[in-house]
Amino acid sequence: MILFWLIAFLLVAGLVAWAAEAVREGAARWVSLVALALALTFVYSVWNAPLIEAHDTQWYAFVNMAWIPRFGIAVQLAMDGLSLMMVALTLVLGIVAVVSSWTEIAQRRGFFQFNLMWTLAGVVGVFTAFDLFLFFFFWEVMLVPMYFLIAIWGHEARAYAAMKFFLFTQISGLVMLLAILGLVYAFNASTGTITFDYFALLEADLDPRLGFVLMLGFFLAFLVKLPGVPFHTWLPDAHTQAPTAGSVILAGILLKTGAYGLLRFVLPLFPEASVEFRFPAMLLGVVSVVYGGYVAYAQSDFKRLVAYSSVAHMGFVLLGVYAWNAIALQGAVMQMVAHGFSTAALFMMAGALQERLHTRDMNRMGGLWARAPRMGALTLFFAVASLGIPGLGNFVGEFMVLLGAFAVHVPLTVVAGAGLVVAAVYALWLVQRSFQGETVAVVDFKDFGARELAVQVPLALALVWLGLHPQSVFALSEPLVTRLTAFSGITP
Amino acid sequence: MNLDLLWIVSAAPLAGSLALLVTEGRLPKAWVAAIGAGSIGLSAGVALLVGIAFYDAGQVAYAQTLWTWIDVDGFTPRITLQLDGLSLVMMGVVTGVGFLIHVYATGYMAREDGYSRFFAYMNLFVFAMLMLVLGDNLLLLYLGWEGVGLCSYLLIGFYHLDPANGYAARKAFVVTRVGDVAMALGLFLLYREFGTLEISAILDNARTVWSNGSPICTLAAMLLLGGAVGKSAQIPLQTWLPDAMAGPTPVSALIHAATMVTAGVYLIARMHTLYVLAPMAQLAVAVVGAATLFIAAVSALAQRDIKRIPAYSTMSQIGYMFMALGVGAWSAAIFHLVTHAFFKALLFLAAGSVIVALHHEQNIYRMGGLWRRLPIPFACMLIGSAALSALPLTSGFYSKDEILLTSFAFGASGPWFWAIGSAAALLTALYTMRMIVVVFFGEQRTQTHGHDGLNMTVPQLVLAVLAIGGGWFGLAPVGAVLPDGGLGSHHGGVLAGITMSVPVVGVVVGWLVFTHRDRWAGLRETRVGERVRYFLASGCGFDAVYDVLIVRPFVALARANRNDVVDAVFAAIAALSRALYRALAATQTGHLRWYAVNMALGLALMLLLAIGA
Amino acid sequence: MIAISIPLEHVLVLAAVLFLLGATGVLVRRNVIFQLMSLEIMMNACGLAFIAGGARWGAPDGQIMYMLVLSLAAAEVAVGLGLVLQLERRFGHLDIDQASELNG
Repeated sequence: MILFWLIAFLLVAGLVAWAAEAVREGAARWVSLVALALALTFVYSVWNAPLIEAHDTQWYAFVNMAWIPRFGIAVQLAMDGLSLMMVALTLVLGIVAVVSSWTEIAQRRGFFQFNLMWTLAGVVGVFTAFDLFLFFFFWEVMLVPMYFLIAIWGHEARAYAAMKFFLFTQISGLVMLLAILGLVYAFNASTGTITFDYFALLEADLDPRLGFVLMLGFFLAFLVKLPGVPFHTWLPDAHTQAPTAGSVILAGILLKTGAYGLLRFVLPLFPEASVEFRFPAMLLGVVSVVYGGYVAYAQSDFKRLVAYSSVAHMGFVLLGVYAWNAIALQGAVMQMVAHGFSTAALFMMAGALQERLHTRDMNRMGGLWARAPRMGALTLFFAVASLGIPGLGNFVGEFMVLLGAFAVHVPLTVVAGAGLVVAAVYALWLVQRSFQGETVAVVDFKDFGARELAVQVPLALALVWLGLHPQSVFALSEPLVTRLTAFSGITP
Repeated sequence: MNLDLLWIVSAAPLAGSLALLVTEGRLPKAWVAAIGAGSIGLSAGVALLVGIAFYDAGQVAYAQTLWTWIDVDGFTPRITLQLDGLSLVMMGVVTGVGFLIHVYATGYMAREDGYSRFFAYMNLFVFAMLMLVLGDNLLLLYLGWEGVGLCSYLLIGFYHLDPANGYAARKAFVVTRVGDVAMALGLFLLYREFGTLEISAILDNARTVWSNGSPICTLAAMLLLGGAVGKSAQIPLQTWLPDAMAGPTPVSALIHAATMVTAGVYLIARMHTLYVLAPMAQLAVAVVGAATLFIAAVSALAQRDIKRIPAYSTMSQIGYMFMALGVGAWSAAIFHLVTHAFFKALLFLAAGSVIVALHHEQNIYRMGGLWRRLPIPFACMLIGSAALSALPLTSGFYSKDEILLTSFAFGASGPWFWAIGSAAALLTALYTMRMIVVVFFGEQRTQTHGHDGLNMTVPQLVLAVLAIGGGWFGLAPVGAVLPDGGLGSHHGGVLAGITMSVPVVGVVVGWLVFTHRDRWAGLRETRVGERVRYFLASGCGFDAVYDVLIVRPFVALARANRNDVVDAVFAAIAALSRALYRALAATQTGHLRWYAVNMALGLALMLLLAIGA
Repeated sequence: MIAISIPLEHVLVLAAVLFLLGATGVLVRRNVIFQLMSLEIMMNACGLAFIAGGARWGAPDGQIMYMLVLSLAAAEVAVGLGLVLQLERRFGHLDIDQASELNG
């Protein structure tokens, strides 16, 4: 029940925030902040609560309530280590999003917080749903408020970007729905029961060809979300046009739902088909790494550059997932978490720059270090994190993905290694163009104050922690990784 | 004394760096200097104590595990500091020379902005460098390896308001990263073969598993060489080093002369078993070294910047170290690394004093006649140059002599290596004399001002003593780690005589040529002369070739694809559906009779079809 | 009563001719009144065909259908004339081609 109430709490908090703004100006953001902080302590208590045994696995929380029994649909929510980590990440980055848009949003602030909270609630649902229908439900729940966030509070080309985002995810979601239905029908055909239960469907005995097609349906949806080349093009537009909070959530969390889906659904539900599909998927990952980084280098829009760099980083995740050994899988998980922190921080920086300079164009920046050494130092830190300097989380992720992938496919690993050089090129170019070099004339440029530092510094410390003691993440995802590598039965 | 203090050696610089970063430059300069140099001083002091304890204990190797870094499926690199003869020597150089340079920097940087930031980066560098030399596994070594690269980037671009410095910094980072990726691939390969990244385990495994000349061993050794070549500025990844002189002079002394650039030498020495097992790879090391030492020495002859001359000289001297590694003179390579750290740091510090005295003038042709005005830098420069040229009795003589004589004995190709090395030794003496003569003799062209404080002169004097005497006692500690040596294998006779006399000849010839350089002006100013000078000044054209082959196509393609060609596909889909929509919308004319006609025609068509069927 | 049997074909040809005349009228006239009148002709042509068919097979269905057509026509005229009035009031003429604002 705990998880149900957690999601309901976030949904209600969204409504309260909306209402609160009508009562008192500026109240909504406080409501969101407090609600997210409460939810986080709540997750912390779940983490420390005794484990629950179900389906041969230990869970931090587990709930199963009938919803539409006639079609075997239930509210089945569960939390294992990976889910716990992802939910915590969601709530932390939710706080980052609220703080980073503290002064940015001027209109309809109540409705803004409402959409923010509902997106987060949807994401939490996605990370905890263990019923395929429920999963799809949350998948859509997180989409619509996100659309509004971009379409209402976005920048100059927001309508175009919001529509593009909506179409890409909606169409791919539709494909996934068809795959879910196909899976349920196939299960029904062989066993005579209709169910959307994740654990029941794990046992489905599928015709190999059908399994492959269904796997592709899921894969496509998650690939679009991840996003992998060639379905990445919604992301630069959506990220660039979204308000800061939207970008933070999009890059920090929404992309992770794609990776999470691969780990939670594609590999366990269709192990044979996934093994068969391994090479193309790894190839897509490598192409994303190199191509994303390369296009990032060519951008002159701060946010767009960071957005393309996300394509490259999530390419590592894709590569790691399909390299499919313990080291690479753990690397992929680490990359998900670390990328969430580093990219969220960079998007927050982009938002702060835009608020101060009213532009994202790096041709009109330069030499800002002299005015704002804190912003410069933090940008440098997160840029360096994203190019993979050892000692920070991103390095652990990328290194382990490559280390694992090397054992599986050497040429692909070599090409992905080239992506590391490209990462250095674009990340340092970003710092150079915005904070170093000749100073542009700016008036009234304020450095980060306590509010921004209170968010950015913990993010930086978190990356250091992940880099020096990654074991805290690995311990959480270890059971899942063990099951994934074991039950596939196919190791390189 | 206790060996357990080892962690303090690396923790002190890190703590200093963090303290300076957190205070954001709000501390008074005296405090910054105290923290910045003091942390390294503490580190050096503890390193000394640890070194003494290490010998008292009579141990061969000592390891201190701090915590387990990663533990996934048998992949268990730990944060472990390991001390043996080789890392002890490196630790001594890094902390000792590092401390002297930090002290010097407290004076050199006194009038610059970003005083605190400078020392924060410098301390961070020392920390990373210590991780590199103390790490017991390749992953920790790689952490230090990338860390020093990052600090190098930060310090080259220290004066960040000038875009040219940013360019130099990025160039240094990206070019070395190419090598780093090769090295990372080497790590993956070694892990795949042995399931560990622990250095001692890898070397033991390699010795038992791989036969001599095994292709995988050669591949692994070549990949690691790729990393070494990048970090140590050897051909073909050497182009970043001259530009790296954009950083403040203490940076050039510490990072781009004494320590970081020699990391490649350390790496190869550390992994020496692989190279012994892979003669092809070892030969490649020697060839890379020989090529670099010669090309860099030639290029140094045409430089006009007082920092670029020692920069090319550094490349050249590291070339000697590589050649030494390649011909199996393991200890001699490390020996030369140490003496080079002394005399090259000295040269840079002396050059720094000259630069400060001349208001940041770096062109040697605008100097001249300075020996009377700047006696201490002059004396130091002279001593450093003598050691660099390997004049007898200086430290550089002992180490370079070892290298050249061992090369000669290296199989059939040995005499060639010896010949190249000796020719470059002559060139070394020539370009050093050129610098000395042009800067310190002749007519004075720029006014000097100010005097160095004690914090700038004392480090120079200490290094001057080391540059002379640093080679007298050999380098015993590394003998326990590295095979054979080359140390102490003195050849007698004619060969030794020639090797010893080449630098002396070079110095004499250099003096004669450059004190009368007006006589040669005619030759220099011919068309061919100009071309040759330009070619050499540019470092033999590598930059131009890379620019045409790699940089420009990369940038041009990136620019062309700025709007992401993949998006064009989706844009085309969108355009198609919009075109369809327009076509359909066009049929909705609003004319009732147009609808009626269509309805009638449609009906008629359906009737026809019905009848036809 | 002498049964004068008119061949069914003749009646159907007549109905078809009437129908086509009506259709042509709808298509070529621009005045709404005339179009409505042409529609009436078309409907009556259909009615004629129904009657003929009913007579031919002696079934009442044809006549029932004709009743239906009649009532339909009446309703259509009622609505149609209302629209005509509105058209006249809004545009000041009865030219259907001018009233083409509902386009894509």
